Amino acid sequence: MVSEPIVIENLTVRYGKSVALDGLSLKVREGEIFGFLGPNGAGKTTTIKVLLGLVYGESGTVRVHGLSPTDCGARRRIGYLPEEAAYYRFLTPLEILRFYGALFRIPRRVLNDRIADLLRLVGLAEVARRPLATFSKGMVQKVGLAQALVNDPDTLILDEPTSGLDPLSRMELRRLLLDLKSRGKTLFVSSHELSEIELICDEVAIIRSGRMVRTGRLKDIMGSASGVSLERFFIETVSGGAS
Amino acid sequence: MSSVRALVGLVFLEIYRKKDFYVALILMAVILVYASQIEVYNFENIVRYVREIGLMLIYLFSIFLAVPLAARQLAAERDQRTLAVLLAKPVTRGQFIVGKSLGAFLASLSAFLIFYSVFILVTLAKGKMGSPVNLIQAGYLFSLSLLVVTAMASALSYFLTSPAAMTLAFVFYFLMSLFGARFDRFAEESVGLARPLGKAVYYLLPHFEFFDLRQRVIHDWDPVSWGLIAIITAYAVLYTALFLFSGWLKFRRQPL
Amino acid sequence: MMPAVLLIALLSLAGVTSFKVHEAFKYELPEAQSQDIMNRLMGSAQEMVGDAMFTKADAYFHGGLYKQKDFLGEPRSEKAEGHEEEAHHHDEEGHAPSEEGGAPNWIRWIDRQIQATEHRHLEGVDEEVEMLPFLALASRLNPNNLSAIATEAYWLEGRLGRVDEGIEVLVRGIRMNPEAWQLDYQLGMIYYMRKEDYARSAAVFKESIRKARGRERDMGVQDSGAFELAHYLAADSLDRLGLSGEALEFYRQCLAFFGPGSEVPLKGKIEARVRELASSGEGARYFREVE
Repeated sequence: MVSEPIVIENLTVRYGKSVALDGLSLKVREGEIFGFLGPNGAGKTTTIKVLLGLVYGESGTVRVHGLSPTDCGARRRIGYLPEEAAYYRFLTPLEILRFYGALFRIPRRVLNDRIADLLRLVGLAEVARRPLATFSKGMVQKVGLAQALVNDPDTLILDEPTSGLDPLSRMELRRLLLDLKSRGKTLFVSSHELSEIELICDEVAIIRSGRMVRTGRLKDIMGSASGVSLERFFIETVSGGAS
Repeated sequence: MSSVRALVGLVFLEIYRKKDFYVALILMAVILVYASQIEVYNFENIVRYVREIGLMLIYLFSIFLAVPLAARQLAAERDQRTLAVLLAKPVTRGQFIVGKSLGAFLASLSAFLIFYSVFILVTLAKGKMGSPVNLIQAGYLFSLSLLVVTAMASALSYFLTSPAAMTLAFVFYFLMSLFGARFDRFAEESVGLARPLGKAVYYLLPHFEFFDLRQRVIHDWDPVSWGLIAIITAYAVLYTALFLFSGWLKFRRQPL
Repeated sequence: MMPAVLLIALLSLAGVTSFKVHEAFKYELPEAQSQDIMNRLMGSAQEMVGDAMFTKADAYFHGGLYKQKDFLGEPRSEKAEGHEEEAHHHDEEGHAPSEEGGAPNWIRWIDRQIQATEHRHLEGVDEEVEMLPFLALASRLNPNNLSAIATEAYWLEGRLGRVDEGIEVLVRGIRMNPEAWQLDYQLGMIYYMRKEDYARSAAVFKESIRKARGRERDMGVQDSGAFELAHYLAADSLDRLGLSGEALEFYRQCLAFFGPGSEVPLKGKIEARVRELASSGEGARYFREVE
């Protein structure tokens, strides 16, 4: 059993001449919610893409549940919720979940039951057979969450999960994420909603220009800057003025 | 394999959820029925021109469905922002390429078979369906051409933009269908760069005229030998594999 | 949207199948080119398309094979009659003579197996009707294509038993091509041989001769033969009508075509008939008036 489902060591990624990640290292402990923070263009999305096997590092090692991210075995244990994703507009939520579920070779009966549960969980049971083209942004985001959970993953990678959600939905999502954590899931969350990160994360990492700036237990990081909100702490850190 | 199957099913749903197929089917059926109703000097049993019009429409519409469907798969996934989500699942890039191309082929094949059935019904109604063996061979060989052309369009889409891939696939298809048999003569009679280019086209591009048995169907010629069918099948499979492999070589390490 | 599309399709089908579309081929001469719908659709491409349809009809006659070139783009050789048998010779491997001595080419080999290349014609009414749509289109789109008109008329009256339709085609063709004496000749043949309407055949042959007169120098072998035969048939038609005087005139014109030493049986037949007519009352009267 791997106690650190995500391990990145000295990862460097280039896009042509520009360096997206420069010697990045981090570890995510099992069963925890890991917050991944950074300004725009810091390399957060690139890091996530490396974890998913969509981008290849020039050097360094990346392990997801002990396997290379390009190994399908690793991806079987991951759920991914992208930022501002869209899904096939000509399909219904039911069909989308069936399609993604089929990719994991989930037995049909198990899949059907799981889909029904997921649709109820995200509040889309009533509209399960409506084409996605008729959905609002928030509803599409809920479909995204459902598809990220369709394989009952051990690790969830979420990129801006609260994007497009109203405050009530955000609260429900927060509750869900904490519930998943209580069930032993590991969550890797990249977000600009620092208030949300502050409420749910056990550990955070802050990157800037492809490099790690600060990482550690949230309470330890915040403990050293008492009386300061995470937002203020983040701004000072990425501006280079954090204590 | 289940991933490939799921991807094939996705492409199937795409073609039948969009309007293109239905427009083509209705247009083809209306034109064919209209053409078959024409009586020239009150002769009712004139059928070859109906076969010619019908087969031309079927082949054209099938190609016009197949090429864009195959060439658009990658671009559509990118544009819809579904590509990252899909490849984050346990789907290898090879499975993605095969599944998408095979899906485009099977979807356009199903459309072609529906068109072909309408065609056979119309000619049957005229009382002159023609040789069943010819019909089977012609249908089978055209299906193989769909296999090759979807693989070609698919492969091109990994190197070029979707419109460019589509255009090039159409150009290659019609160039080789109409003139493929003559390219070596053209090359021999040419000078300068045209000569090696002509030879390259002749020997490298797939000869789509191999898959065209319309003349035999229209004019009731004898069927070709089944040995020839086997040779052309192997030819089609080889080109399909080559195209898909080239697409995979390009796509396998491409950052997304 | 789908129900609307389906409804339109159903209505189209119903409309199309509810009336006989052969009316489209019933060609009535427009009063002006601007009223001709085909001309308005295609403009000056109309004639080109018409000629292409004629080539298509010929291809249909030869089982889909084009006379001028084979599918490899190699020209077929042509005999004087315009019928190419040499080019259809292939060895047992299906290779054309142009391939002999060349490097083996597996692509060409497959092409030759796929394409039918043997020489064949349509045979019997059941098959020969297959050319009709293209012949009809050819004469309709290019009403100045004399070959198309003549061929269409020939197949209708000569092979498919549609004599009246053949006549219609020729009458239309003559109206569009007033100087085309060959069409009058062909029409005369129909009246003479099929209808046995000697009054019409006589009139038409005479018209044909009138139009052709003065153009003998430009005639080929085939046309010369037809010109001569038109004289004889005009004479014979008039003879059957009892118009001996006029018949005699045309018999004598016909005799002028035969050389002095010619021993063609027809010449003897005409000479015998001329002697008969000359010795008859009307014939003698005719000779007196002429001389």
